[in-house]
Amino acid sequence: MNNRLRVLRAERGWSQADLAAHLDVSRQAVNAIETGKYDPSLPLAFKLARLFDQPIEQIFNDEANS
Amino acid sequence: MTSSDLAPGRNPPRRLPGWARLLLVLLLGLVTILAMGALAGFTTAMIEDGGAPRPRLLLVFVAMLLALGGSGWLCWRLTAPWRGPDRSAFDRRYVRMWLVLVALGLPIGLAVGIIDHSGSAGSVPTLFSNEPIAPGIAWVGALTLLLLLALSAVYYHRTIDDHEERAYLWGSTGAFYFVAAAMPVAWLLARAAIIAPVGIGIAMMILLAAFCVQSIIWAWIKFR
Repeated sequence: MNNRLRVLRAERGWSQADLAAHLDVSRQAVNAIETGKYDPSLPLAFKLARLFDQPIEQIFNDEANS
Repeated sequence: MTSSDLAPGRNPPRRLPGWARLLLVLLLGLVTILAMGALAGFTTAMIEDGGAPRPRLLLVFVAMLLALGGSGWLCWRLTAPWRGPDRSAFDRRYVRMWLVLVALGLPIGLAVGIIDHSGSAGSVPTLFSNEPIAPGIAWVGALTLLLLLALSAVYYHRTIDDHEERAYLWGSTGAFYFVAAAMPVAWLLARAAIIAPVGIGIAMMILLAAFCVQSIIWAWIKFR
């Protein structure tokens, strides 16, 4: 699954560690989501959506439907 | 927006990736255990020798002390990024959790591994000793292990994030498949007398190997 996390993070000038601190997860988790190695759980996806004030489907993009 | 804007530039530069750092800390832990074992062995040899310090033995003793000190210092340096002042609340909770688990688990694990109450005069405790022990000590050891394992599991799973939970689940699945394959294979081979009868020793070795499988898969998924 593709996502715009890296772009959204860069727009705010945040490092992976900064974003991890906002989400209360490890930096490895942020890196794994950004590189597409790990799809976050629904609660974490909602947390991301609230943090960036965007709907989940604007952050994550299901390749099969794109 | 340039590609440099997208790079995680504000992440502190690290000469070693996290997985290499963790691997080195684990290897240094092994060095520490071996050095402690060697120190205990040399001390026993000196006592059995009537306490007379022999120069060569003393040199080895000092070398082991230096190895212990060096391991401790290197571990301290390697874990510095995990102890920095700018750590997030999650990182602080996570590191505290590992420190508590290691501080509780290591001494108890070593104590359980070396208990030897066979009563034989001059018996020297060794790691992974399989000598008989008194029932009372067995009960205390077993209950302590069970209680500690249950508390540690709750503490660990309440502390980690989703990503590590995934790594843990895949690691455990891999370890389960390993045991599910290794035990029947060992049983079949033992029935044909190709290997020694499957006793508790082989079962514990398979369990130890399963822990290794779990740790490798866990570390790969968490740090890749």
